[in-house]
Amino acid sequence: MASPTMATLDVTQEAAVKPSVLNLADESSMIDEVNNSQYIATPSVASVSWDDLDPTDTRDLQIKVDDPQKHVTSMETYITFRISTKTSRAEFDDSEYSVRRRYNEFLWLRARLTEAYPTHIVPPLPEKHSLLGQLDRYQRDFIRSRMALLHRFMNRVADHPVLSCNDSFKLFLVSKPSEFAVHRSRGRSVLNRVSESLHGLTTAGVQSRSPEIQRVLDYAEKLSDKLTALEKASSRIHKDKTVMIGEMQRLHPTLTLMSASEPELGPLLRAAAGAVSRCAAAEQAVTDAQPAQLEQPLREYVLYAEAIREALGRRDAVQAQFEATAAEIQRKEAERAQVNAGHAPSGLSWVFSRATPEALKAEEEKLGKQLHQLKVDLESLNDRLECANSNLLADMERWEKLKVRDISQLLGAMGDSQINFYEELGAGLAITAGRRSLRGSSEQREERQSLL
Amino acid sequence: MDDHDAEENGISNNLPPEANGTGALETPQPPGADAAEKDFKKEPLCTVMEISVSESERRYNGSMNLTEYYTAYLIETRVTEPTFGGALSRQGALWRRYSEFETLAGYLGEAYPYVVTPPLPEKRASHVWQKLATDPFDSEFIDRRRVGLEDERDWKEIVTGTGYLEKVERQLKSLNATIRVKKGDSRFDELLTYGRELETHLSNVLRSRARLTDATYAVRRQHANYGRVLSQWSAVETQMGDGLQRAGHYMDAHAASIDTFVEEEEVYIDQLKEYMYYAAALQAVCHKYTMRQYQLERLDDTLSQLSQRRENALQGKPSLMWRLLGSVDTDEVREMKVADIDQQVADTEQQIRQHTEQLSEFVEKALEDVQRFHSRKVKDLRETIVNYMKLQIRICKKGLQTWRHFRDCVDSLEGQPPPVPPPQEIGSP
Repeated sequence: MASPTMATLDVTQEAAVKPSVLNLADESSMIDEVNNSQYIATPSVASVSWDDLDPTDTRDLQIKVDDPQKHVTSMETYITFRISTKTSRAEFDDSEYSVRRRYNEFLWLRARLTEAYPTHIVPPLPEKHSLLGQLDRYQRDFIRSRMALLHRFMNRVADHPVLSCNDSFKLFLVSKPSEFAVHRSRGRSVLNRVSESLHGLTTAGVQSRSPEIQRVLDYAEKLSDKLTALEKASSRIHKDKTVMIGEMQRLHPTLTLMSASEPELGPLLRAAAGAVSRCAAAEQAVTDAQPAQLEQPLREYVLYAEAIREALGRRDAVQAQFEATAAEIQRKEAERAQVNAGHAPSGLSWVFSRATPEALKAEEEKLGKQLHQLKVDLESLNDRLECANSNLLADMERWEKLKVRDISQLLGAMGDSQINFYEELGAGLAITAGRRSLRGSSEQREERQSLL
Repeated sequence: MDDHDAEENGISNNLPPEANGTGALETPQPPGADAAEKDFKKEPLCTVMEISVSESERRYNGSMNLTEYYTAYLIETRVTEPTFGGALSRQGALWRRYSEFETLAGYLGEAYPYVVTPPLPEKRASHVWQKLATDPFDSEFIDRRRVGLEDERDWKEIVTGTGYLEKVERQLKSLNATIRVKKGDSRFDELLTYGRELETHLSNVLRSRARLTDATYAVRRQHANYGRVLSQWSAVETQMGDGLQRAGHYMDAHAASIDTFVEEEEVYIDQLKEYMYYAAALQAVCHKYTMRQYQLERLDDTLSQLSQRRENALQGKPSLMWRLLGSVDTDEVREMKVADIDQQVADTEQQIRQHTEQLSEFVEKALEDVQRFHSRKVKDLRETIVNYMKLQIRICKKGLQTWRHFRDCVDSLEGQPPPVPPPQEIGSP
């Protein structure tokens, strides 16, 4: 299945290498934004430019997601992202790879991972549609935020000791389009269908959970609430700040105009206008950094809370199976006891035949075989359940550590950005207000002291 | 002139004694004034005494209706110059209400027309974040005048007795009419233009700044949301709980701190507002000049009309009769008429002389006061702008401090070790 690309619209301005049909100029800065984005923090979600190697990144598998491009075919229009891989792992033939994938293919990958590791917490993908539901799929902000979250997803998987060894993951990273299409269309495995149907089981299907597991579930719900509230608060601040910046920009020319008709006050007024304008620019910089610094990481963790609940759901399914089997064994035991006591077991087939000793013996044997099988099943289910529980709890441990680091980095970035803002602004203002040329000569000395 | 002020307790506004050196001020003096006092009467009052509006009090009208109240302001005076032996006592205090200030302002505007009179503050507060406590007065207004304070009881009678109210009304009417003068002093044209520009500019700045402060206030208060969410979140976390809680408190503090800053900012904004009204007063002086110049030109016109009529009278040709009947006045009648016109001419010329003298005095004094106004304006506005900047610097410092604390709380999030050692990992089936 070749990828039918009638025309590739270059969404970026990397036109030097590729022949571009159309340059959408207003999308051109997206690649710069990814490279310069300020959510570089820990290596696991770092946005690294391969041109300048990040010396602190010592991982043996590094992945970068960038360069969104729009593809137009007769059937559909979609966007692909470039996945660049750098690795020193033995199972990879080369040390560098570069492929293009679209969102649906990420969904496929995640489905494979949850199928292979049902009781692990598989990192989340960005949602199919934007929250507002009205944003165009091709709109710049939406694409930017989707790409950032895809980048995070890939790195989370790469850093996971278990998930990163998965074959589908490797295929995703290295396959050429044709090979990859083959793998994708291979058909769903039976296991996949089964696990999907199990996934449909609600958490109410289990009788009771162990306290630790229950704690995890409760926590995931509450975390989701709080982070969503934080998202809302930050988006409102973003909006209000934009209004405020607009007003600052309007104040600047007002002061400048006035300075034109005031000979003595002119310099001071112009200095004030300059200060206002600098303030507006500084605020704009802080606001611009907010999506990458704050909103995208928050969104990821909201989605993570959902992913945890999914993993719990799958674990619950195993427990439900276990409990169902146990219940079945109880029923069969009761039947066997009845048969042993010489009574005919209840059931339609016995209504019309006589409960002869031979029939009863046959029944008892049958039941015995069933029970034996059930008990074997129960053993293995028990193992599976214990496995599931400890996998989940271990993964939670790992995730908890990541979470603390990521949250402290997220909030830290917020704090740093504000600290920088106030430091620079304060210094600029102090210089302006302290300038001799702007002040009356008599006030200089006394007032300059109080400033510094 | 009832006023039902919405203002409650005023803020004390002490005026530092300023040696302005703004020049002499002529005041209408009763003859035979003491020679020693004469020197002081030429100086602004503020050089010899401190005047301040220090308190305000709610008072009720005679009726039992509690909604009919007004606010009275306490004016305290203290003579600082030891050799000043004027009519005013060493230390005085009296209560006046806003309408009385308005009366004084109106009277002064009329009695000293060439002066750019300082404006009174507005009656009502107009912004969301202003609590009802607004500073009522610019007491610098009072410091240049002495007339009103001389006799407490009879003050109102004296002032209203000058019939200034009628004059003020006439003036207001004349301001509305467009008056064209043939050859006015171009300095006043420039002044008028400048006055308008200043008013416009200040009004724009004030409006823009008001919107900016509204927006800034909103942004700041939103941080209380952060505070609340962080606090709630901390209750759910084990390891991060403490740090998140403390960080949340700093966000609350950040949101709350904007209130005091905005209040302080209003003080500086009031100073800008004052100058906006000053600009209007400046334009008023220009109008007064135009009025006087116009009157002078009308007198000139009257004079030339009169001389034309004299010509006619000499020839015995009163216009109407001559056109209708062709008759001519007798000598007697002719002489009478000419004499009559001559009298009118003399009167008019006298008026013109007086008026010209007054006009040039007005021009001289007005331009002098305008200079005073300009230097005062430069000083005041410079101070206001610098103070405003200093306030912004303080806001920066406070913000910096808060966010640094926030950062410290965040740094502590990773500090503690996880509570439970990680369990064994088992491979998937």
